[in-house]
Amino acid sequence: MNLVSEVLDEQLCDSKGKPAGRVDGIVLELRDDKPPRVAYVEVSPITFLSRLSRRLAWWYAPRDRRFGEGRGVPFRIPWTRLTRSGPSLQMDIDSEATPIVAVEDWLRRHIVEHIPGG
Amino acid sequence: MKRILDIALGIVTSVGGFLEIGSIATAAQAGASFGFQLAWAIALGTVCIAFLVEMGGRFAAVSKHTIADAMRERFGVPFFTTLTVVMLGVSLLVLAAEVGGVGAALKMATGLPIPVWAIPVALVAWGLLWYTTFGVIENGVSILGLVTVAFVVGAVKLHPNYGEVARGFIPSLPKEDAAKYWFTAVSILGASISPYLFFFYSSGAIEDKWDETYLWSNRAIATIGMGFGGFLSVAVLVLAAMIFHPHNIDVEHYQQLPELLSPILGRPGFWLVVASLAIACLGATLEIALALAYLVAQGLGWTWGENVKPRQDARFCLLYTVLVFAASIFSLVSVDPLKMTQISMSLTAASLPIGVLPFLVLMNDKSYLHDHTNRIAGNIVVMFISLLASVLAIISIPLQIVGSS
Amino acid sequence: MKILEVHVERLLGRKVIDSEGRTVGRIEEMRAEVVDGELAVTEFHLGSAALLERVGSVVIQLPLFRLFGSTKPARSVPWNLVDLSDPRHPRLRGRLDEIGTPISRSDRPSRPS
Repeated sequence: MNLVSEVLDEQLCDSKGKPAGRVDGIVLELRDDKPPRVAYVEVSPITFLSRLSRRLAWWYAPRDRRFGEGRGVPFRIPWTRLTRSGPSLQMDIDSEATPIVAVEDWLRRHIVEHIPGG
Repeated sequence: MKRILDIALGIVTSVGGFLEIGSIATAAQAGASFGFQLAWAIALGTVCIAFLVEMGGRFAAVSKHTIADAMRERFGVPFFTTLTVVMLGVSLLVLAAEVGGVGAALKMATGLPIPVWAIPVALVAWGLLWYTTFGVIENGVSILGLVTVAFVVGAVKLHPNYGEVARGFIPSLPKEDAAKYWFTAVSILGASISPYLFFFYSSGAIEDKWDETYLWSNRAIATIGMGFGGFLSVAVLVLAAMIFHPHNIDVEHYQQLPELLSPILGRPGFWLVVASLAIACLGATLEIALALAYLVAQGLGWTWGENVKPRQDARFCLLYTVLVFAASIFSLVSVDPLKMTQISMSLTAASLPIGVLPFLVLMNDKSYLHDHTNRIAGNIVVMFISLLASVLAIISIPLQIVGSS
Repeated sequence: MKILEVHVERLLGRKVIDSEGRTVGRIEEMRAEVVDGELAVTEFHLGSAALLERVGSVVIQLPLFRLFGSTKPARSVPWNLVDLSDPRHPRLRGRLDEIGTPISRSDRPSRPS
């Protein structure tokens, strides 16, 4: 497979089929006598921003921590937990159990739930 | 049979949703200042957007991706971010003009000044998006938008010299006021060719689960829908050309817009213009806010869709909320809607290549479209018109600024 | 043994220099295959155009853009010839003329749908 055109920036979904962001980064593990292993996929605004400017990502990272446990560092999904499912890559984890939903949860708890109806 | 109904609905919502403050104001200004002479600009803009909308639908139906999905996947983060920032910036100004348009209609209806209406309009738009399903409101507002057909009725009743109107479709050079002529042409192009339209259309095609069997329906909706829409704009131009131009009156205030129909239809004419403006601009407000929220949501991989409840996707819903209220600030601080329209339409024209050229790259990418990539005619038409619009904008905007100061 | 990690997205677009300091190309794509039960990068595809590295191939196919496209073909370089110990400055192990296989532009990957 082609990592740049088929994996990087692809839509991710979780074990329940719910959208879970996009592949913001791919981590390769370099080894002496073996080809580089595709180790993890990263999903995080920190990784996203680092593709625009390392400085911006570095500035944002501590602020990301505010959204909860596991934030503040890019969230990594081991490659072995991903399979292709139609146009997306599916992870065999429930996104609710990951830091991916932290911003969504924060906004829901602090803003959306205070608005009547809906 | 169902397919025919789908096509009919698609056409009706395209026609009803076509006019908004950009197309109404720019056509009125063109007709008032230059008679039928700028009809070619409306035709060129309409042809371009028809091509773009057809491409957007085809892209979604064949590749099963929205345009925004593909922009991120194919071009990566830095490009996608640049595109999104530019589109958010320019479209926010257009959104502000639309909110202003609803405010202007309400001012004409009630006498209460526009700043009073800024927040209420934003609240209504927000409420429709937050509490209802998009399909219902989008279709509902677009069907109500058919009230704009009143402009065609009015234009026909005036018995224009159709030969002269036809001559206006042939591009011509201005006899006087060249800077204003080209600036108006640019504004018309920016009003007709709105990138948010084809982004939005491709999202709708994915939501409706279009596949390759929809390609003919898509072509029908794009050409007939946009075609009739352009026809409505021409009707506004004809009205302005026959009512204002002979008296050398330029359209400089939105209060002049009801005069497009009141001479012919009397008091009901006034109310038809007010209703057309309010409904058309409200529809555009909803559509632009959604289109922008879709762009960001799709590019970042969030949940998106017609029936998304705020509880299910806080980020998406809060994003369109922020956009709608941010747009209302311009009206709150009394920025004139007509000025807002001119600025936002010309900036749209200037920034067209940023959205259109990469889109053309996608439309020629076999890995997405297999056998359905663009034919050379489509590429050339769209590339030519958008580059033309942009070049004209870059030249005429400074001239207009210098000229009016 | 320290594990050295590199990011695909940070390698994208980086120039690869050979042992004599000549530019071989920019990293456009990385091909991965299952090797010994693990997914690993087996080839690097290097292209020529700088700004257009992700747009490049398709732009060149557009009729008008053929005028602007570069004629240098993309090259496919096996993983063992690329030294990524300094990810900002990838190096070719060897000389430009010793390597490879130009790949034809029509060899484009198909998009999963």
